[in-house]
Amino acid sequence: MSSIPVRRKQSWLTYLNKNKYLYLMCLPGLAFLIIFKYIPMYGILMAFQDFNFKKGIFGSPFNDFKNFKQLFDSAKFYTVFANSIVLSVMRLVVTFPIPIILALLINEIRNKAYKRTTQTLMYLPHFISWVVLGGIATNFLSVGDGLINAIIVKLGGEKINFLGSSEWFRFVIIVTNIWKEAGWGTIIYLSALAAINPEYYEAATVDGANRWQKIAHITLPGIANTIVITLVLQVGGLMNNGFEQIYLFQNDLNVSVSEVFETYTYRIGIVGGRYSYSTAVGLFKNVIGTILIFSTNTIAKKLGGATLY
Amino acid sequence: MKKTFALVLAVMLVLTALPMMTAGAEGERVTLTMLQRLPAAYVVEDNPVIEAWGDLLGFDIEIEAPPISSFNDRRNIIMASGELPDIMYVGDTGTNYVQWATDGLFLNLTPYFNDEYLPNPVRVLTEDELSTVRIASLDGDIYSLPRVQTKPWDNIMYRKDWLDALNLEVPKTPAEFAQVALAFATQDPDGNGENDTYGWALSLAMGPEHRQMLSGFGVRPSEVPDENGVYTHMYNQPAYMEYLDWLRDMYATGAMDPEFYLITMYEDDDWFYAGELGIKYCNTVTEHMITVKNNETFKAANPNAQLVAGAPLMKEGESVANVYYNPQVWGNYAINADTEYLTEALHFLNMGYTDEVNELLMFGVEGITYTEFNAETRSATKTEEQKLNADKYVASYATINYQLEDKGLLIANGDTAEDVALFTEAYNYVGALTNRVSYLSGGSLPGISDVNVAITDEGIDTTFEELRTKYICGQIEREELVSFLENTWAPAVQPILDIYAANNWNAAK
Amino acid sequence: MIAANKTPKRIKRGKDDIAVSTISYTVAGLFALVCFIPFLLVIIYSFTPYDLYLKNHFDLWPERWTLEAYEMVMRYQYIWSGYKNTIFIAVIGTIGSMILLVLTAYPLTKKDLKGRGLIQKLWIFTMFFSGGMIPEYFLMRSMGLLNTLWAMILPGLLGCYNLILMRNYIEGLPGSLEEAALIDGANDIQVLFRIILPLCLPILATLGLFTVVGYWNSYFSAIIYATKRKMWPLQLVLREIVFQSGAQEMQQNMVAEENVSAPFLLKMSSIVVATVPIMCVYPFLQKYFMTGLVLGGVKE
Repeated sequence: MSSIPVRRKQSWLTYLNKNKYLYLMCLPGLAFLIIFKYIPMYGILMAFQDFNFKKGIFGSPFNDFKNFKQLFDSAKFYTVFANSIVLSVMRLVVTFPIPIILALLINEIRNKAYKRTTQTLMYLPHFISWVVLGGIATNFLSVGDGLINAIIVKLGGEKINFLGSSEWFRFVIIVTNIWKEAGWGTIIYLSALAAINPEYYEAATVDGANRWQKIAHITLPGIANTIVITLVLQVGGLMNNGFEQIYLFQNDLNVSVSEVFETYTYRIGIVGGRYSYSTAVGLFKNVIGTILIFSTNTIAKKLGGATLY
Repeated sequence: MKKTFALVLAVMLVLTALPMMTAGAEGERVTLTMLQRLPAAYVVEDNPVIEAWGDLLGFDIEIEAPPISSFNDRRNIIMASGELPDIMYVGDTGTNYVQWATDGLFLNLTPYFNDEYLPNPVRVLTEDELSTVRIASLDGDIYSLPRVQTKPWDNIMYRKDWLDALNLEVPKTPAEFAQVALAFATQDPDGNGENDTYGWALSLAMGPEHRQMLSGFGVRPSEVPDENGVYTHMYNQPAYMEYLDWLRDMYATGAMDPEFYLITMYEDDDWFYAGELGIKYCNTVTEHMITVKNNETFKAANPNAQLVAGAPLMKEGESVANVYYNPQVWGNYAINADTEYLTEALHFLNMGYTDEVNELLMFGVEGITYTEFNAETRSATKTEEQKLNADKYVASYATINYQLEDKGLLIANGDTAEDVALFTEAYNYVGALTNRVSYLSGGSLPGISDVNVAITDEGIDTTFEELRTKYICGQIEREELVSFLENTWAPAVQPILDIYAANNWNAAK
Repeated sequence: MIAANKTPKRIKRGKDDIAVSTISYTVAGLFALVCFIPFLLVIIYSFTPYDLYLKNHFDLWPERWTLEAYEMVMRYQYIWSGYKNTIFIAVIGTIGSMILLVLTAYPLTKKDLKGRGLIQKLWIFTMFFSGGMIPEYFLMRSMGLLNTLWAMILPGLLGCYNLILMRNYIEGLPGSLEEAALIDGANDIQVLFRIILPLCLPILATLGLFTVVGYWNSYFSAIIYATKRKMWPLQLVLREIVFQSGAQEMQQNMVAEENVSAPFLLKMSSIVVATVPIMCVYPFLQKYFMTGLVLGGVKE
């Protein structure tokens, strides 16, 4: 009877000893994780409380899920939920492949200087804040004196009110999003491309493969893991649309489609504090996000691709 | 080598010892901590004005000035931190303020609001102004003191050179206004041969309910009952629909900027500076005439521009504009309920309501931030260097109280006699044509906040804004908006009106 | 690149070759051009007198130029301390972050290491859930880090996103080298630093770039943890300079007497002031993820 636990203990110790360096490496990261990420986690309790500033999180009374009841009872919540999901799914479908395509194209450029220059120019908009980029976009898209509408008219089209209509809101958001972030997004794929063993290409050349075949059979499989990982992470972020961009392009004429969780939470804050309520809205969003990421990961696993864990 | 080293060491020792000795000599002077909302250019460290302020009060003031862009984030953290400064700029008289006071963060000032502790605020603040900081849902006491502005005469500024070029008078009624705006948009007032001007731009950044426009229609705030004592929400008053009709007409004729709904805060000012607009309504900036006239962009873009102030719009056939004003409060100051320095903190607030401190924080120290202060015109002359210093050391944001009723305005931006004369003329003209009707906002009455929350949660407020703007732009018919206002809006706000009625709110006015 | 070096031997270019080249040169070039427009405009605007900008937004060669916007930015006292703080935060933060990243990611590539799954799930969880500002503020206070630059460095040291990308990259490396070294008697630390790390330059350059840019652009933690203006990082100082006061007061039904309205030019020049230094880092890192590595001795 007693020999089994002892043996188990021994094997456990042996295992630990064998991998001691690996576990030692884990320690700083774990310490960081616990101290900076998990210890403050008690703040989530606020979502279930009537927060009292004097008493703090530990002294505030719990309110029997009042915040969540309020949330699910409000008509606005469902509009906001639908707007958020529609926008972010559309954004994901349209935006996600673009950095991959751009990275593949850059990878095929053989003139070193041209390659570097295009890539450098592409990442510049990432450094311009939404306020400024949005201002520039507004100038371009304006019905009055915007360049884009001037071109449309010149080509014989009719002016389009990009900014002041609910029909065009999502289009504007997605296009400006690609403008700002697609070039920056290529970086991660370029680094994955850089890791592909060049000998594969040599071997393929010897075998007489053309460039399309090389892209299809060497390049794409070489970055497939990165693509899957990035996709899973982005699906996990489906509930987030980012505040700044949306807020900037939101106005009375498109508010019926432009009100998303981020702008709604902001409005709540203005109408009056409601700290606990905002926390509850955030918590709801994050629970959905977690479910999304874990289920996507399971699907990716079933399909035999790369996974998060 | 060793000698040099020893010498350096000795000098360092003396240098470190010196401040210690002086500190010891000064003795018992305590330090009060304060949270203040200050602009980016303001320098807190080694600020001669803050030092002079400390000398005047008899204790040091250590100011924490969070980023003005994110003041609320930092303030909220401080409120939750359990370590509050002695004096706080709260910057809120709404639900946050009520919650913090209810949670016991702020000192109840009512027991001290008397001639013994706070004689200056008692003398200066009116009951209406104090009502903005009373917490009705708690005990009706005051938990902070308001920073007040006594004479915010809203007005409308016009390009005089444009009016003259088209042979037009300064408009007084809505009809005249629309006529002038249309002429500015269509008759090439700047004479450059191009169709590049509009009459004006309606900014929605603060909603379209501008007092100096509403006065032309007789729209009442929701808090004010009619002569029969009946409360009607502003949006449900027939006069409000007349106002929207007027806007819609101007939009249709092209008198106003067609993309007004995209205008962000102060962007309309820019179009005015650029010479694209001939009319600018001024809600707040009592010194607007000087500010605009001296603006470099404005001067560069419109070298021959002249400005003229117009009064708020008045109803047809009346000789004065009736403008509804609630007490004009720009933030408020509270004392930490657990402060160690109660006497000093009360003294601090008390002194904040004197001319002496007010002028010190607005104009600074003679020789450093200005050359001479003219007590009669309430303005100061500055050299170029002093102007740069003034940017760093003084700001109206730093004041505890902003204006004193009986003293007129402090003209912080006017540097020349010409500026002061221009301002004074405009100020008096607008004042003569304005009848100020005082009323109290009802936002802090118990129960109001819950109704507002419900309206937001149902999305009724955003729907209203959407329909209203679409109506102005001519995208929907009148019936659609009217039916929404009658069937959805009116029932949603009825509880608010009931609360006003139950409290007989503004009934005497 | 090696493949590219060998092509000159081929004299006749195939159809596929011409097609791929044409598409890649044109599309990438056009997109790059579109991306360059806003930056070009920002630079031009920053030197354009405001009245000219207002008259014509698309004028690429204004009739007058001005340095006023830059003079105004430089006049602000806290710009210089902002630069100093930001450089410290970005440099120390990035170095620390890369060390922690490599140490944390490597053990997670060992598929049979016990506890690996749990640790990864714990990390993923933090992508969605955090305690919020108030508990994080209390944490920093209890560690005595308020009003230090460390408070702006430590919480952002390692994120789940970078961790997963790093781990994924190492997993993609050929395992043969590692096995050979282990058989030769090297321990895990030696394997990591001698074999794995040199192969990780592309991903380290990439994630290092993300991290250094992230630190460079961050300002929010300073709002919460810094009470003194001289502790502000550059981005917060610039944000303040271009901030237009008023909106906040208006939302609370207060009347702002003073309109702290920042000239548009100032916004433009502050972008240039803030981004040019960080952009200088880019070429140094770019070469690592734009050029393929030669994996010497990986032959099976």
